[in-house]
Amino acid sequence: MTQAHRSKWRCQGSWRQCACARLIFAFCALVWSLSLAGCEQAVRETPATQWREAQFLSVPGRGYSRPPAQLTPEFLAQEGWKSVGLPSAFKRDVLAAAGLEGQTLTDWYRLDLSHFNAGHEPQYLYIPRWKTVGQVAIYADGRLLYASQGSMTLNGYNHPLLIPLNAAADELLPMAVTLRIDYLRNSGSALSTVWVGPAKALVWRYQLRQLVQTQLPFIGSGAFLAVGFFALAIWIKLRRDSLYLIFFATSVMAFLRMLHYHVGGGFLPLSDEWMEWIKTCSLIWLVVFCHCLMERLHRLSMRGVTRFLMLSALLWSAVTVPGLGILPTLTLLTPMINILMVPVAALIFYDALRKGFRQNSRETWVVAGWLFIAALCCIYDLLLQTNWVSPEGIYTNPYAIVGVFGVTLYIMYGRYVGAMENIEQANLHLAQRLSIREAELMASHARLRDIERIQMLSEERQRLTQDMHDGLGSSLVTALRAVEGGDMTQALLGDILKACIDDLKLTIDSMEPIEADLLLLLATLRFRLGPRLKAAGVRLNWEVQDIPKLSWLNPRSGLHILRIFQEAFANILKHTRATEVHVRTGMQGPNVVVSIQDNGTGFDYEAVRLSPKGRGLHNQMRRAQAINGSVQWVSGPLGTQFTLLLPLSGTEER
Amino acid sequence: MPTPAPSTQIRVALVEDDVEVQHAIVSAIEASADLCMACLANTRAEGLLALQGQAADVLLVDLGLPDGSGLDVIQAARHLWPTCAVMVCTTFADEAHVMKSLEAGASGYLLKDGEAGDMLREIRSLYAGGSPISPMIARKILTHFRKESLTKALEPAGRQGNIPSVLSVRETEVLELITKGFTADEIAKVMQVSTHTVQTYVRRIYAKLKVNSKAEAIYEARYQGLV
Repeated sequence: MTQAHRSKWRCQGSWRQCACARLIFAFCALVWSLSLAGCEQAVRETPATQWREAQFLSVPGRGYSRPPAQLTPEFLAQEGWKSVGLPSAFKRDVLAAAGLEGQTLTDWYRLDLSHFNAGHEPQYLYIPRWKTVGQVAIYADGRLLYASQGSMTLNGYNHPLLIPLNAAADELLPMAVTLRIDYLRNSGSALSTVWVGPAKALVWRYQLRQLVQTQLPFIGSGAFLAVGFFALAIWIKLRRDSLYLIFFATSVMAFLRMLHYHVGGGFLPLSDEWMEWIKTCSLIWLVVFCHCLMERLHRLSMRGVTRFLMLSALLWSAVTVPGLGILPTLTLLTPMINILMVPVAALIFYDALRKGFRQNSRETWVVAGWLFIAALCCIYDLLLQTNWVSPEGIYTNPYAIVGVFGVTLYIMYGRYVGAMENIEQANLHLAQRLSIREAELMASHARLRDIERIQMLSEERQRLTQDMHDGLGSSLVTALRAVEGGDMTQALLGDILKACIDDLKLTIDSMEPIEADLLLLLATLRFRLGPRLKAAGVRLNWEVQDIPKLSWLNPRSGLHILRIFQEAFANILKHTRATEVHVRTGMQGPNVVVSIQDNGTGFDYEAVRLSPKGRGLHNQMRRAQAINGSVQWVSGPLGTQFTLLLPLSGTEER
Repeated sequence: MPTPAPSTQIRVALVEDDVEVQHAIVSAIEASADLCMACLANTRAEGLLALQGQAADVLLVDLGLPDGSGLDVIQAARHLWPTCAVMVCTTFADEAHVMKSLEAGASGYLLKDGEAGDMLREIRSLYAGGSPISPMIARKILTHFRKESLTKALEPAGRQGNIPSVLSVRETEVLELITKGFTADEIAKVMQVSTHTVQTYVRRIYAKLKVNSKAEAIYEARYQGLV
């Protein structure tokens, strides 16, 4: 792929990411504006009253006590009530923890509704947020209307309250509403402003709070966990990429960590100690796993740091297991751990980021952005938890944690698109290389074929030249000399020319593909020379038997064989006065045997071989040797047997 | 099989540009009692023109004509003179030339260097239904039909209806014996049939070869207006 293509691809990828983000943003904006529009309408129709001030009384106590069913008028009328602004918060009295552990305070807030213009609609009490390690109870005209459920720590503090004040038929609005909040001195307490108004004015506020404060964190952590399980499934299949396993672990820890934002205020199967343990440990592990994620995403190797963190987290988790009694109750330690984790996390992430920035990728910037936001969220939440900022606010950490999910998904998406792009490029590259190799191979084949053809042509030329020289050429020269000498009869000339034509025919035959079939070669010879024998009155007995294929038989060796037998038949016709010829084929050991037996006069082999007439015999021997064969003559007064022995298996031609 | 001409003589047509060969063949025919020349052509054009006239019993065609290939004349003769037996005149009876001629519609070949007597014998034999065949040609035909039967096995129905396009067992046997060098007489003895029957086999093999040839298929298609 060219550079242009590549950049185009990358653009498309980022465009898709942008489009996705825009879509989500647009959706959120739509929901937001719709709800705002609905709210405004509700506000315009029926106003609600926000109480920014209340009567306040704080009563010290020893330990928690259950809220009474009725408040006596004496209690409500006692001295000490003073005006206090809402929201109201009492910071942790950490020093108190040292000496007076277990000492509780019970705060009372009273709202006077006697002058409240309610109209005919039922009125509701809406408390956006309250916070305590203890219990909250609400009284209407001294009668208990609501008491928080669950344990002292998991009392549903993060859930807003919406309580009907006069729901029953014809019930009048109470004259006064009293809130009772008991808490530990060293953990402080807080109460937001309080609203009274009709359902229309308060329900949407309540629901929006509920959504932002508890429901979105729950949905977010659930979604994170679902994708985490998907990642786990991937990891089970692809063991070598631990990124997926860490993603899963992170999602589990995030889910556990976020439990306490939305769980509580009910009856939990786990004790407070265990819940606290989960809350603390999940935070520590979350930081550790985030570090591992970062390590993988930035492709860094920080094995030492990782191992140290893992060990520390393990140690902490083991030591703090509830019931072991190694450390005092976690409830008191939690804030300290939270504070302690901030610099630790900052240090880890700073290190990862520092290394990540060297790579200077978009991913690093996204992570950095998230870390910055997460840090702000942490600080804000710490302040909120320790009542340094208005208790009206909401916890932002859940969003920061869900952000991990978003950031990881974003990076994984980028990686996936990148991987797809790489595969496409690799395929293209492979195809290109393949075609190049193919072309090279074709070229080399063509070259080889050319060389082979040239070699074959040269061999063929050599063969034919040799053949013409020995056969046709010498016959024609003989004829020419005879004609020039004037002693040439017409019959002799005809014979010589016929022999020349026979020569040519056999040459042409030798060029036909005979497929290693010696019999076919002999058959062709008979087809050519048969008429000559017949014309000379020689009876030919064809007594051939099937013989195996001779794999070494080619045009060159074929012509040698044809010429050997041509000479043999010529000798029979010229010299022996034979009347009958037997042609036989067969096997003799490792050889194929072809024999020609005539009933002629025979000849003295030794004498002929040494005489000038013996040229024909020498030619036959030479040709037989050239194809690793041999020739034999057995001659007597009753005839001659000529035998050609040929090897069965292929050997190099000489 | 050609039907006998009204006259008792075998009427021979010749398409040949070599004057010497022409002379040798014509004089041999004229010297015989049972053969006579029907017409004589020097070129392909003359040959094709001659085919418009009365059909001869035997047509002798040379392949290398000055204005084109004798194959065209052979092909045209098969359709214009269907009863005429066609022979190709060749010096070497080499496989390439003869196979093409057989596929075009020839039933035999005549060696130009043969004795006058041999030539007349060949013409008479062809007219009587015999067909010369060399071992090389036999091998070539065997290979051809082996391939053909392979492709045929894949097709549901043969191309031609009445003439089967594969060799029978007996025909294959004849061809195999020919490739081993046996003559028609020897084959007849081995197969315990008459020499005439062996010749009939060969003629039938040639006919199948024509049907199977690509040239024939194209001619047939053009004839029927398909191409």
